Amino acid sequence: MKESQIIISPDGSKVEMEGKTFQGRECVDFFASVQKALGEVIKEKKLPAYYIGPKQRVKI
Amino acid sequence: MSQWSKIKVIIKNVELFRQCCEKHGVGFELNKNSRMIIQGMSVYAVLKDQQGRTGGHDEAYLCIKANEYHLIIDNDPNWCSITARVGQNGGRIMRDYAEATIRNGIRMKGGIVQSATEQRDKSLLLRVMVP
Repeated sequence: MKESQIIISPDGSKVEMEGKTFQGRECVDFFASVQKALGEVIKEKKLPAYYIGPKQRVKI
Repeated sequence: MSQWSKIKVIIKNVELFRQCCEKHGVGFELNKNSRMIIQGMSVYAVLKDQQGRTGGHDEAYLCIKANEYHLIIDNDPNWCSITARVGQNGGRIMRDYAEATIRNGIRMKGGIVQSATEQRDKSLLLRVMVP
């Protein structure tokens, strides 16, 4: 299970989302539809884990 | 962590917004007067405080412009009874609307909201688990 944290401002005008244990594009893909339903993205920051990519099993 | 984003909430789901209004004792009545314009926008619905005083200062308006809905409300709690009860800019009504929108979206993607905690500053912290 991956974890995410969402903070809704007291007046509901702004929402902050942060993928806690996501890697790569997982977080972007999961939250795209939620963000679209909510409104307009005004700030975005890709964190180091974004560039790592999702964990993959390697068969040897 | 892979991404952080900040989103400006825009009312898109009017039915969900209506439910949030009613939850807080604010009536939602569709406007039938096409001439009613506020701040250059036509009024889609009149929101009337069902627990407040009578008169013009117990109302707010849901307006529409370019297919976007805007909540027009007096932010003075001494003047507007809705603001006095739910907070400025729609306060808890808007917060509930945002929460319900998030919960619906998360559920549709197969995730769950594990907990919802009101912070000291009245913001709401949701912890979401994603399979």
